[in-house]
Amino acid sequence: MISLIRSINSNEDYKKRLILFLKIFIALISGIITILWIILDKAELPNQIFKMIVGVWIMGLALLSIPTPRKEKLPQIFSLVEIIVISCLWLFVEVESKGVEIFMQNGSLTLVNGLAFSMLLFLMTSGFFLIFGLADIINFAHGAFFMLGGFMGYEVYLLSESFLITIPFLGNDPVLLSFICFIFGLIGATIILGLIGIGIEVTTIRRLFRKPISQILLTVGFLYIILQLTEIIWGPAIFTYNYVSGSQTGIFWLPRSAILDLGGGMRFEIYRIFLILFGLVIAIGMFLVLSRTRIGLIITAGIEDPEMVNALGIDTKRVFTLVFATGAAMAGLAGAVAVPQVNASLDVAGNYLIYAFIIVVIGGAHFGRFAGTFWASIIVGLSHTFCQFFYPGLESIILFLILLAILTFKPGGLTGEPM
Amino acid sequence: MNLLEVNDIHVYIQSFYILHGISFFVPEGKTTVLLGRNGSGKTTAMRAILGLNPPRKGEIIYKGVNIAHLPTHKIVQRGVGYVPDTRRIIKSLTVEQNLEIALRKGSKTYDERLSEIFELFPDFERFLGQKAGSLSGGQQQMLAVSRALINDNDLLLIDEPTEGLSPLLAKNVLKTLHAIKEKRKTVLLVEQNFAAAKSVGDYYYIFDDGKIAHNGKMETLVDDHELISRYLGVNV
Amino acid sequence: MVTHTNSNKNKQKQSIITKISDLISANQVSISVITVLYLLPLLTNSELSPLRGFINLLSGFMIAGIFALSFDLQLGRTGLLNFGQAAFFGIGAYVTVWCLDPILPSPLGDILNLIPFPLTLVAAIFAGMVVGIVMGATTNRMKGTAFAFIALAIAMLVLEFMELKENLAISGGESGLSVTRPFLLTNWIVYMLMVLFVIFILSLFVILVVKDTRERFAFLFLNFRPRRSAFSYSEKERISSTRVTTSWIIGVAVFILLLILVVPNILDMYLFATDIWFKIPILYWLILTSVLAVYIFVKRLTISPFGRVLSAIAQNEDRVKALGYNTFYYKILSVTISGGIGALAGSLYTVNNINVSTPETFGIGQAINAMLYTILGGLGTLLGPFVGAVLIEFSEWRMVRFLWTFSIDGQWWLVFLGIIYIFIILFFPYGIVGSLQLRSRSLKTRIREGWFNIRETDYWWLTLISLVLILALMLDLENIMKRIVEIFEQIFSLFP
Repeated sequence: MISLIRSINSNEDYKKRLILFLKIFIALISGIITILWIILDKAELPNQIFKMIVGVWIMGLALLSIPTPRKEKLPQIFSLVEIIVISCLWLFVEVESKGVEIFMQNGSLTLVNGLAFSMLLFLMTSGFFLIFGLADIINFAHGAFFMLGGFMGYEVYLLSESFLITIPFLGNDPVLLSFICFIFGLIGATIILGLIGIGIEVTTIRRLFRKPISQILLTVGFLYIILQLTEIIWGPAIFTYNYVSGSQTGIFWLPRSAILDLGGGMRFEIYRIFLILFGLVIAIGMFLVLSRTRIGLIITAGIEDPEMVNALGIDTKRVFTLVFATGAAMAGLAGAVAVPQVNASLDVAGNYLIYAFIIVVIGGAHFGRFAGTFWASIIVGLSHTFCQFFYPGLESIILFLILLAILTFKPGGLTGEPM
Repeated sequence: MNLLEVNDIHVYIQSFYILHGISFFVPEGKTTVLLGRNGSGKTTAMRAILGLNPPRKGEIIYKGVNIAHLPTHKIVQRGVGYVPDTRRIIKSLTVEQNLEIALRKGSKTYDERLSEIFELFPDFERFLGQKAGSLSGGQQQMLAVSRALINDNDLLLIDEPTEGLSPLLAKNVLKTLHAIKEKRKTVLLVEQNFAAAKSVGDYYYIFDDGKIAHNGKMETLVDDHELISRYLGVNV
Repeated sequence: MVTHTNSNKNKQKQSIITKISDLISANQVSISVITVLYLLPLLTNSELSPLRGFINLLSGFMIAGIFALSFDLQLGRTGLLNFGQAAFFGIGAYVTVWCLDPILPSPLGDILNLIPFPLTLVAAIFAGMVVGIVMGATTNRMKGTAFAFIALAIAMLVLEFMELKENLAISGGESGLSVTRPFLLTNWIVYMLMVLFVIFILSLFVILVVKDTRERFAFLFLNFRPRRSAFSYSEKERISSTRVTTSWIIGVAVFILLLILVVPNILDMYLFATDIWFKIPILYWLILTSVLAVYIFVKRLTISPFGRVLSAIAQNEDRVKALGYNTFYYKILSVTISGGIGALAGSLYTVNNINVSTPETFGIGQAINAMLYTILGGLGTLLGPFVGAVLIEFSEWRMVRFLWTFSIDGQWWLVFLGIIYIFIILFFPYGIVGSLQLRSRSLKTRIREGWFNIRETDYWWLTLISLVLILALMLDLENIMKRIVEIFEQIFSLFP
């Protein structure tokens, strides 16, 4: 035994081989256990083992995410094969147990819901990504902006409703009235949050230019303040608000009960389809702005090399103010658009901040592209919704598994460079 | 007449004292070369002029105005073009977009300026739509130079243009430098390659450990073999 | 030079008594502070008193301080912004829960229940270090913001895992779990042992008093001799100077006075208190001792070569790499150590609060709190996190109630606190303790020469008096504030 340890210590090559062997071993074992779990899941495996499996799987992926030299890709290939085999097995078990038809119905419903959720996430995360890319600031206040957008949208909706209901033409048509008020709510939340963003950036964050850690600490301070203020104004976390509850017409333009029936058991909520279209329009618009206009090009270039952009005669500080305000405004828009689905409440701030984190890391945080964020929010939204439907309770864990898996194969995320 | 005068600047990077009171002049229409070993502070001097590492003490006078404490973009907008040492082109954008970002409002239109660039680099027209990251090293250097030339800059700061290029490509770059010189542009050049510096430069300053060890006209330096081998490590 | 080598030789031969006396003269300030803090619980007896509640409160402050220190060990020393700190805290808290309660199911079955109480703290520390190793191993290639990203993601993963429906049995979810209090915390024997320990510390303090009076008022006593200089101490002189003199009489008088203050309370506790009465003092002593242990450990760590490498990494990692250090190893170790300390804080939290829930221990709120304390107190200063924790927690506790008396919603104070925090980041990047330390030299000279003519040896009793005053103020702030308000009202009533 001692001689073995000695030989490991003395021989670098041997050490490397041992580590490689260990990695392959861990990847294999974790994979086999996971496969067993999926097969045996129908037999209601005891709770303890379930936890152990997830633990081992995470451990295996975590160990794999330690960067290795390029030649030693073998363990990573192993775990890739594992993931593919596990997904196929899952599909097989699912179809086998429930029948093809029901599977298709559930599948299409989850697909629409998932896409709607993805678009919501994308709307929120795009600003977060731009702020992080341009100035290396993790904007902790972003979740708070999202939440505040929800409250603002709610308030503006009620306010405009109380004004417009007196107009007889609109007062008789509650659907149209609530639609107009909803649009007002969106615009109002966007503008208010944009102004708040400008205010925060100009008064505080700008003063600590190029000190990312201090700037992050600042944004945490704003998260704290906004949460406290919201709690004072709208009450503690147990209260939730949505458009219908406080509305005089008692209706929302896109009532959650409004259903689009395509036949064959495929029934979708109109609100979700609206969300998908709205998100797509905004996404395409942002893509066009970023790739066609001068300011968009400057932002793209600034994500890659802010100092050089500054040395080309561009005031990066002012560009950053614009981006920060846009980011806050987008978060507000997303928050307002989400109110019918997730309601306005204090919990939202933390939860959605975590989604933004995961999406940005998956999409490529360092020197990543905007497209990466888009695809990452689709991956996260879809897998979250699918998991919620088919394996309820597992939906948050799956996100971190995806995060670890993607960081294993592409340490920099989908489009970025390794951090 | 001196376009740029640097008077006794002291530059720190974080807490490290890099430049210990440097002074030099860049005459209008001439090429001034900063020579010296690695780490002697040439690039830092250039960054100090640009305001990327602003000096703690001393003044930098450009066209009669002290620019030492102006923000970078204001300095550049006064007509300073910068070609950084590692090129630093924006790889995710196309060549044309790279030029577009660099463009500032001026007397000439975009097309006029573009045709001027094409005169210098005839094969540039083919690459315009290509991603800058896919260009070869020499082409990237040309893009970096043309990014500085696309505006009517009075002063060009060029940092090690031949670094990391093969001798043939370096020759190309040298040709470009000569062409720039023929246009009567004022150039401040940092160059390790003494042969290249010799052929382009009018004046030289030798940096040593954050101080200026020697300066004068290029012709006198060419003959001073002892000085060259002492400070530049080149045997002529 | 010669005297110097002599004194070195003498140092090797020193007896225990001289060693202790050297230790005392080197740490006058800390000994007086420790004495006051350890003495506090002995001032209460088996009746409800404000002091008793205050001691309970102080325990909470100190736990927050330990946690903030573990955060500061990473951000202030190694430059790693770890938002995953809550994972350590939560793991420590839950390992303690699983260890203490035999009824609750735990992930490792019955093994954890076999660990007796004081050792559960060690078990928690180990668990925190394991989480630290995992976190360090996955994040060691990253720095700055990327590190913050991944660390928070790992912490959130643990939180989500604990909140899974399948795991509600072991975690209790948002409503949380309650544990039975360990037997040792409600035991009069432990109380008596701790009293003995406190008396030992008191005797150290008395020796300090004796030494100081002898040096200060030497001319009053008959054995006058010139003040000793640093280079002239020999064995003989030391022995002769420990003779019983008037200064010893003063020392014994102080000791007896303190005992008179304390002994009736101890007797009262012994005679009349039921088991539960011993909880607050014993817990307070336990937490105070852990604070001291952690503080000394971290202080040792920061001045060791290891700590120097860590602060070098914070300044410029590439340069440290170029010097031949394996920075990844150092970063992993830093995260691991900090994880252990964070888990200790979580474990003490469980013992102190009894009820533990996932959002409270694993949630991002914990990390934010630790950050508020650290930034307010001063990054990279050992005392700063504690000062910040006490200030914020205390102000939260007092000011909220104080504002209520004016029918203002107490939460406005928390908003105000956030604004103060932002101001400190903007204008005082070194925090309260850090800024004081930066100016301490000029402050010291000003105090010494300009204002009060105070000597280095006077610091300990000044600290003692100011500490007692601060504690008294904290204890009775509400009444004092009310009186101030009354005075103001009277003044205003004079001008109709």
